[in-house]
Amino acid sequence: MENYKHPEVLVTTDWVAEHKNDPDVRIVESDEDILLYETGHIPNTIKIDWQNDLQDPLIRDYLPPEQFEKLLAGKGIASESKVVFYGDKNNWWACYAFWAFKLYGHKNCLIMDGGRQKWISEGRPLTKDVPHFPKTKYQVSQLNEKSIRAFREKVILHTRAKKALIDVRSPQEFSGELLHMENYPQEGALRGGHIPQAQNVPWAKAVKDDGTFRSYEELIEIYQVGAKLKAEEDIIAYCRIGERSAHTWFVLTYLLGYPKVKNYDGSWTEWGNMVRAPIER
Amino acid sequence: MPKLQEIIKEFQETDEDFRLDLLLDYSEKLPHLPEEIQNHLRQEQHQIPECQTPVYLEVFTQNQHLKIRAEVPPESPTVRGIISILFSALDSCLLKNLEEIPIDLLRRLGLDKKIGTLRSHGINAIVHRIRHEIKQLGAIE
Repeated sequence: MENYKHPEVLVTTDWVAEHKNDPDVRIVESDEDILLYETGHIPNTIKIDWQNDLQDPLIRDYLPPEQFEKLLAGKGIASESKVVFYGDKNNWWACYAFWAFKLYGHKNCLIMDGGRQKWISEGRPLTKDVPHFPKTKYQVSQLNEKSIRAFREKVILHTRAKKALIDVRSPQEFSGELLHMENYPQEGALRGGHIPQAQNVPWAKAVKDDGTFRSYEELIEIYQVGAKLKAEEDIIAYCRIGERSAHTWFVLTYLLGYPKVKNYDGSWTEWGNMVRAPIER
Repeated sequence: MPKLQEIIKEFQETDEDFRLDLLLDYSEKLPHLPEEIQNHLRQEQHQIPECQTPVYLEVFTQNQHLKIRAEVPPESPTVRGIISILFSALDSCLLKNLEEIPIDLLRRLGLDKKIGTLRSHGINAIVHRIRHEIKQLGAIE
């Protein structure tokens, strides 16, 4: 862990076991499966669902800041709380929730390395009890949208300027082949392929079998040597709806210390439907 | 009333906030398969490739009855719940009494908004696959 550029954003399962009753710490589970938390979770953990809690129910966007404040106040998270995220599927959704919290400028965000899988494989306890923490007066201090989120206008300029893009979907989605499979209910994109110049590095390459992140050296090999992404350049990561790419955004930003990475949450569901958007196959 | 219709009615009559709890109850009811059947199921032709989780499924007939076998990991209670609903409704049903599975099952159960379009992809693929396999058996025109 120590070679990462920002090792302070990762905590171990041991750390969480020791700090789970610390009033300055709030543990948040965020999963792909909407019912998984209910089957059992780390004691004293609250659930935040990336869709029903963080997204605006009407407009394709995240909550307005005042709604986010209301959500966090109700969950008992304070502006200065250390929020530890973990979840299923190699912390995929935990990283997405981490990114969303960063949009609203939450300072102290941490990821439990290895996620749910590691906690369970170590035989640590789970509970179905839902904790209720006292309400807080949460205040959003600063919005970080400009530095970590990319919108389509920016992505169009970015690809025209031949700047770096990383597509973290599967090779079949990247090549456009998946849109041609028979009997396949489509995911709402009319065209298949990828944004010109994008390098394809499926998001899960960044994790080991036990769900923990690969070492700094291995990640350098994958992203810097393999995908030729340079630390100082502007990089846009995307996938289908911006969830898997939030995981890669986390890896590039915190583990490798790349300062200018943005997540394009419109991703393929927007790009693959946009009239005249350039596509490569 | 056919069993699947009954379950749909049960969901529709349940308050929206508690429908996910009901789905969780169903997910706990999906029977655990003996090891030899699990090993038999774990073959590529039984896997649902569209689903994020490793789901294995087999639909076949036995003495004019429909049989469904499914293996879904416990880390995917939502998928387990949907398969368990279809299992409760259709497994061991006489072929001539089989009812058609609505293609928009999630919507009819009133779960589409909570589960959302972005995460219902795998579930719809499963519903589609079971419908398709039943049709292949010639049980429903």
